[in-house]
Amino acid sequence: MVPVDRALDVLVRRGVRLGQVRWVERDVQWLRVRNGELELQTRTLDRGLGVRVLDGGWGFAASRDPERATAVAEQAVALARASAPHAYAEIDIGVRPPAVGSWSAPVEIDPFEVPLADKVDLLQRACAAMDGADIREGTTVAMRTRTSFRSTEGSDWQQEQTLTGLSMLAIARGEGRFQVRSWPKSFEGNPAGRGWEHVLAHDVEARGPELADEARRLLHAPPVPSGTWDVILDHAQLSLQIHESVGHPTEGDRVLGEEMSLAGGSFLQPDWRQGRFGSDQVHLYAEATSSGAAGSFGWDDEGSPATRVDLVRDGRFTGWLSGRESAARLGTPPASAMRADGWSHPPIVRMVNVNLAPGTAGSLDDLVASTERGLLLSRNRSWSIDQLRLNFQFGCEAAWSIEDGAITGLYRDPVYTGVTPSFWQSCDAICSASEWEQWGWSFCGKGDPMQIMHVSHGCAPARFRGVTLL
Amino acid sequence: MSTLDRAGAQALADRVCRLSDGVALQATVTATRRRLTRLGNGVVLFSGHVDDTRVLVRAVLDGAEGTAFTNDLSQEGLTRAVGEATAAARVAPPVSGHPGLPDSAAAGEPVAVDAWDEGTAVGDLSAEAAAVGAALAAARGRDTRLAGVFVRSAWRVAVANTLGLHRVTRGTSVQARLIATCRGASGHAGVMAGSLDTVDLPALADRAAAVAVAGQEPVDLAPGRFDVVLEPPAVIELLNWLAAIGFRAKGLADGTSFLADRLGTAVTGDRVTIRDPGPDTALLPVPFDQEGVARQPVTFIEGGIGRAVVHDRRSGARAGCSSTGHWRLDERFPEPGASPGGLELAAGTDTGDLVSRLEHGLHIHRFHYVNGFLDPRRARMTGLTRDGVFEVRHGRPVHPVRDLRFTEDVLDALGRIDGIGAVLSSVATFRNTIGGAMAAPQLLVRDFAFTGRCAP
Repeated sequence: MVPVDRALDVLVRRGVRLGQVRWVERDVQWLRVRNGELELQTRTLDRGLGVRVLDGGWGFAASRDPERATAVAEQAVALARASAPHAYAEIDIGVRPPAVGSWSAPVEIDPFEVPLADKVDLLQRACAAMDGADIREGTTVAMRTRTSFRSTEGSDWQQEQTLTGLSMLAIARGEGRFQVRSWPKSFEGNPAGRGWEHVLAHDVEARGPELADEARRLLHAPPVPSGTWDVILDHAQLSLQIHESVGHPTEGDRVLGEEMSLAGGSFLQPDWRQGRFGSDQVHLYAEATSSGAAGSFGWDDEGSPATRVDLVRDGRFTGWLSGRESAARLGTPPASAMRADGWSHPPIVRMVNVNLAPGTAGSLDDLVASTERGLLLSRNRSWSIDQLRLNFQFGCEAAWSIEDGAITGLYRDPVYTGVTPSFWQSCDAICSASEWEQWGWSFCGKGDPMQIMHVSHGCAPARFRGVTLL
Repeated sequence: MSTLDRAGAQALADRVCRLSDGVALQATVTATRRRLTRLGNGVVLFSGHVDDTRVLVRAVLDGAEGTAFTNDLSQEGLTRAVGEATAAARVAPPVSGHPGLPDSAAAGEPVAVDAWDEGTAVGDLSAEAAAVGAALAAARGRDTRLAGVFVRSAWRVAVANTLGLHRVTRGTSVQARLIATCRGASGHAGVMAGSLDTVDLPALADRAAAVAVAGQEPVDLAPGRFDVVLEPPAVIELLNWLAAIGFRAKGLADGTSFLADRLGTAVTGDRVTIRDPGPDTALLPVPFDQEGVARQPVTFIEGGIGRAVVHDRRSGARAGCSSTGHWRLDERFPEPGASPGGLELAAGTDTGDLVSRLEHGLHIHRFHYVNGFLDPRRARMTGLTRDGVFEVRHGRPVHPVRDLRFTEDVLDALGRIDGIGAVLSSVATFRNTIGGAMAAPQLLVRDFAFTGRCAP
């Protein structure tokens, strides 16, 4: 009998209201070549059993040891019952039909079958291509998560999520400061829910010289004049803007005050329903079904099938990210957005792929051409937003000045700030579907103790009027 | 045999080392048992229990290294992890001047500490449930709702390598981070301690609730410069970022640290001393790093003068100095190299509440979402207040203020300190891990720059 079955057997015998058992195996590999040296090579081989029980209150027990499956299940039952006196008096989880089957991310090349030497060679070529930068880094990540899930409701499924990504970083020093240029974006690149073919699609030799050159140019570029500007956000920066100012405030558990200790709350309280969030052309939705996106899955970690829900339609706020319990409390359809960081955490409300629908502004070149005076802000360098997700401040790596529809120069150290609804209301143009791409993030932190999750944000570059640059 | 036991952890580390096929191997075993209760919206969201034992395997061969983590302790699982680390070391290009693994002499003798409290390690489910219930009731008694987390942990760390090094230690800890909310206002109280006996959850809840109640109906204040009194949790948010961008050997070598080219010179006000207190602390002491090297106290800034950064053996060899015992590899945020294990801003001599010395200013309980990547060479940071901001006139709070955003060159701001409390407080942050503790006093800082407000 496998650990999942042994644990489920206990939960059935104990007659709990709801029991969910996950056996999770996660394989992760990080590689980084820095100035030609392999600075980081680490592999994580992680596995364990997580048991979540509702019986009066919620209990969760987990262990790395499959031999302890029975004891872990008993522990989860005891914890659920012990928490009952101080839990919500009523917990409505609705009724879910059993989910049975299997799901896996689209993978052409298994990232863990690619020889290590080939990966190191790719990263060394990436570093070499950034010749001229003072510090050159290439990083890859590969992650595979296999989950087996069974519940007392009859669900029984297996899924395999895969995540891969590559990033390049050039740093130039001088003038008592340093400047950074990254690609596809800073930190972890643009991870996708695909195999190693996603990494191989990055043309590192073509991008390297440009990164080194721009990092050096930024050293001598003037700072952005502070004031009010029309700005175009590129894919990378816009994806973070969506993440911080749309994804997080729409999380139902934040709205309910359940995430206050670390992440905070949300301004999107129930009286915001149908409120003016953005301009008429702003449509935002959560979709876990997108093939190859970093936030996709077959089922979430409480067994609900992947789905799509609108968050903002025609600029009006329409709904939240939620799980079964938070959806019932908010009076909204469940968004299948309960996700757990591995076996050792219970699921919490999480972003999936939170996307901005494409507009009609054509290509990025078209959008620049239609801008009289403004800035094209490129790739994130710093980020901060208040606990209600209203006041944000983002720094970018570079700002390209636009005059009369043409790029005319380069500024360093752009930092823009705003308040979420008024910022999205200032969005007057979004590029068309031809520019629309998924942009992945693998380090979203939430929960207490903190859980890390991979998500994505599909978007096309967009323009915002009258933005404050510090 | 449990890996939380000394013999079990050591035996596991030795078992890994015996799998070497001639490569120098290091095994770092971390066994944890964690009981937690998560609170939100005035109720218990769940109670949990997690057991884990993870092994970090590090293989070094002719100046090249590879690492692997596993929690599969079967012979097959350990063999696979050793194989992954070894294969990587064989493929990796050699690193010039790699010092290899330390033997016992090179690692130094760690300070003997035993931060184990048996009552905390074992716990009592019904007593904990009662304490949590009393905390929820205390918050309700002030018409507030409690959120947060209460975590009780026991842990054992053992390091062994094929050069004969053996190190082992253990500890227990209790962390509480509580937020009380009412009508849009919030208050925070938290603690980190080695023993359950020293943690009074209802009292913490009451303290958080009192701040929340006082924070109702805040007024909008125009951004600008204000004298501020920062409570320890706010100070520690700034220290964390100073450590990340400034106190690591890598940043110094890269020239990205604010200490680059400035060691031995004044970088902030002469009242400021910031250090990693090393193992000689009551806060989660681990006397050696993940490669078994004895952890040393390191003073980063002394009387305003930039002094030092933390090193591991590899960075130390390059810089021509010794390891300070700070090698750390986090499998989730794998940023290799030395990083501070603990942080402390030295207490001053000012007794009494520094708020009483504010003629006109702000009393700030906590910062949120600070980011120090704006300009690391100048330690420029931005962030927001949360969980209680009060305008103070003539030494007394006059009304709560809606949250504000600051953007500051923090070393410059610390140069404007006009008061340092005499009492150090430890703070439980989400960053607290085994071997990492943070403590700070209350600070009075003149002309702190606020650049935005949090209004819809």
